[in-house]
Amino acid sequence: MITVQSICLGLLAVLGVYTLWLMRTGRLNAHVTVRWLLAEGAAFLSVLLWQWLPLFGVTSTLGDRELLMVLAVVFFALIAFLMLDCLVRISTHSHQVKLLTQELALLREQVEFSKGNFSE
Amino acid sequence: MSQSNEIKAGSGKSLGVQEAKILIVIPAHNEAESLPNLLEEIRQSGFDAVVINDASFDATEQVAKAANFPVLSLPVNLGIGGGVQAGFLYAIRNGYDVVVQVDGDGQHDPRQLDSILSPIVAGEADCVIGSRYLPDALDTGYKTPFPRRMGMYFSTGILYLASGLRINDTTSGFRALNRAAFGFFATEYPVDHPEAEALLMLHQAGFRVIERPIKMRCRDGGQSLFTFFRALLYPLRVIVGFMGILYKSHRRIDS
Repeated sequence: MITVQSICLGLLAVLGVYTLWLMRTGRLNAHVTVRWLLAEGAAFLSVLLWQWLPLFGVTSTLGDRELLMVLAVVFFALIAFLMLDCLVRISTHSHQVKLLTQELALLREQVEFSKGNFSE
Repeated sequence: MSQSNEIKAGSGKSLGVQEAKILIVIPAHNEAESLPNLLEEIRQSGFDAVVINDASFDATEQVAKAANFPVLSLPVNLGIGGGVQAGFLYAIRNGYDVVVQVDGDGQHDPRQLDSILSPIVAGEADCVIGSRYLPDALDTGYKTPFPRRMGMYFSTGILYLASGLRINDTTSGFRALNRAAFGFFATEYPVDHPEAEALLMLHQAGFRVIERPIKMRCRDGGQSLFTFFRALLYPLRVIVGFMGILYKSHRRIDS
């Protein structure tokens, strides 16, 4: 029997496989992949064990609307955390690209200067 | 280029400083039109200079090389902050004592170099800003574009609130720095529109910043990067940038 839980678990499994494929093809950094897989694993376990989780014990006394709101907030927090984590990596890499760009320009100038001296 | 052993203005006036090794850093992004005149004026002044070609699409690099000036060609666009910082690194590695930033658009007149260099070589300041808006020496000939003027008022106010430092022309890119100051910036320098943030960083690190009056010219060609859209975002960038600096500890490099 197809349930909402099994659909969610299936989607998360597909997402996990897709993440691994991205890493295998070199499109996703290994560090970011690990974080994503941990997050996906946590989401998978949450869906799998939702009946025993205290969060759902609390929300079961609330109406459907409140439950959706709580889920939306948790989901948003998770996505925001992951995005921030990625942004940190992007920032770090931007800084590294800046340093490399400057270094490359300085080295090129030095090479041209040396070439000029050599030809003279 | 031959090294200058004394400070000379375009007028030929000598300030008589023998030891100071001075470098003019010229950040340029698509400034092929403006550069030839500026480089010729700098050549006449007798100072060493380096052109930072910030991934220009036009012939900026060729123009600078044709004028026989060293060029640091950045393969990707880093913006004014990353470009100027590359100039500071060049100055450090080549043993310069003083760096003067002169924008590649030709608005800064090299004949006024002595007015911002004098306090540096006399040891009166670590950083001298060429200012258009000093109350007793206002540059009435230069018409500041409205977005830039608004951005400047904002950064002037917020700099004063954050540090108590009153600088009338926070967005001026015509500035001279001694070795301690540009050595400090060689390791850390703000990125987009760095002028105001750089002043706060200097003040936080205990450097002395003063202003000297200058007259600025209109652009020889090219387009300003400070567009209306950028001006809209500028206050937010300045606030975030200032918060980043205020919550961070800085050290002073005296070597």
